[in-house]
Amino acid sequence: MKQHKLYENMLLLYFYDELNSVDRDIFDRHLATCSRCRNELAGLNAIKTALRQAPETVPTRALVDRLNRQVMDKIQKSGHTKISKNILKWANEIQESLAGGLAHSRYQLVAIGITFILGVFVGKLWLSSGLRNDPDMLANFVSYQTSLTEAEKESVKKALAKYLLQSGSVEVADLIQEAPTKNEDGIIAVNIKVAKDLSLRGGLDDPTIQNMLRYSALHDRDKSRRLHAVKLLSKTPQNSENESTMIAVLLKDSEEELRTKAMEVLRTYKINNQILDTYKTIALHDTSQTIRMIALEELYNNADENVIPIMALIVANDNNDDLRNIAKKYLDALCKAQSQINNKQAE
Amino acid sequence: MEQQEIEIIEKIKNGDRMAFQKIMSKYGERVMGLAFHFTKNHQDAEDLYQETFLKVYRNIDTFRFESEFFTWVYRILSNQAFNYYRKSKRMSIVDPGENDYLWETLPTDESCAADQATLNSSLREGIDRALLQLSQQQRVVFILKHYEGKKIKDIALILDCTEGTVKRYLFRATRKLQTILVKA
Repeated sequence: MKQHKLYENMLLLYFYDELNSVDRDIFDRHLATCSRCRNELAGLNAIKTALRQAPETVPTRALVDRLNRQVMDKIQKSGHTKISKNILKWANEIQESLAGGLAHSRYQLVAIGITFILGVFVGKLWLSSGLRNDPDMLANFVSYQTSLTEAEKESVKKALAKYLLQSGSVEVADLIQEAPTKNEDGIIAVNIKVAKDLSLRGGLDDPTIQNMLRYSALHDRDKSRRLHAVKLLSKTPQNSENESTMIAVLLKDSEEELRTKAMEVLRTYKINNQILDTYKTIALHDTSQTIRMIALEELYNNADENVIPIMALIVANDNNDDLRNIAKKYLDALCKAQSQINNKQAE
Repeated sequence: MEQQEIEIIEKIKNGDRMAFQKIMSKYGERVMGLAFHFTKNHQDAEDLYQETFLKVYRNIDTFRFESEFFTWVYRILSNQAFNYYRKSKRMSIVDPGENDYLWETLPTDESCAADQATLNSSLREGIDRALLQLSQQQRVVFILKHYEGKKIKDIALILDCTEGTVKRYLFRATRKLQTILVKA
């Protein structure tokens, strides 16, 4: 009896293929003689089979996109979780940006001043959670340094802007395009509101300006500035960061005009899975009929195997007659094309 | 690990939120699928998903490229499910809820006949209900073993507990499920 209790304990490990080879041989020999263990094992195998046969439930892309937006919102609200690391990096950047000038004696005072301010700033990281006010002090310090040349100030301000963007403690106060001509986009001036205003200047090819534009397109409270930022971004080279920004605007912005512009920009990008998934979400869930129409058209023109169910869903369930009609037209064409392919393959 | 992924992770470490969005887009569906496996409840799965990715973001600096990135995410997710949800009272019944359309059921076999599909569907419900009668820890261990095919020693590593603890949960879960499914 006691001996059999030992085998009962081995049975589950045997079932889960967790016995070493010696124990497995011992148990195999026992199994050949013990009908009770054989029955028990058959019962366990039935569970395994049932689990394998049960269909799997998987989330849709739309659900994951919504959850991702919620996670990003929470990260945004929690603010400066990475502040301590970034400020140290930023301190290095400032020192690098001043490296050329430090050889000159009149800049030594500035260097001491910046080091002191950073010392206070970094020190405060450990002592207080009221960090959001501290960038004001730095902005103020940079703006009123008479011993820095304008070019040096620009370098320091851009390093500061880079830090501020990462800390999330910045508000864009103004976005101005100065002296654009037919052939050139001119200079972009971005005024950042911390407490003291800070103005950045640079062309559309300037990475800091591009960063500010992406930030403005996504987070600016003023919708006309968000729109302006999206328009300016459409003139910058296409890259994955700009693509993600357009997608985020398209999925997140409450203003139809902005989403329409983002859609217009996105359509100029080479289609990929991320863009196609965005169109699918938009076709199903956007509140604007025009944008949904465009999304449907893009889906039709770039159809993959998942497009037909989306069209069918709209044809079957949508409240909007125009959308249902256009989806039906595309669906018919896609099904026809599909059946032609099938026929060809059959031949 | 792919060079592109290493670069994205480095960007996240430097505070680039766009890069983090990319990582969530890449692994989101897999993480959500697992979260649902662990919780068997849509709302809890959403909470677990968000908690997991927030933890990934906040602890990204501790990721040292010593494993695949998803393995690291997977470990955080399993740990969250095993520990964090210990106090959850919500997990009572398999509730499709009002957001059911956000989930889809994959067929087990493309040539599956309609009556077999119905049978499979009711089988799934039966198993889901049975899994809900396990404790959260039992369920997590059982799923890591059955669905994910992990070895007991690996589960112990993932959940940061002893192999003995894993065996205890796994054996109790298996016996309990066997009893429930036989009765059903």
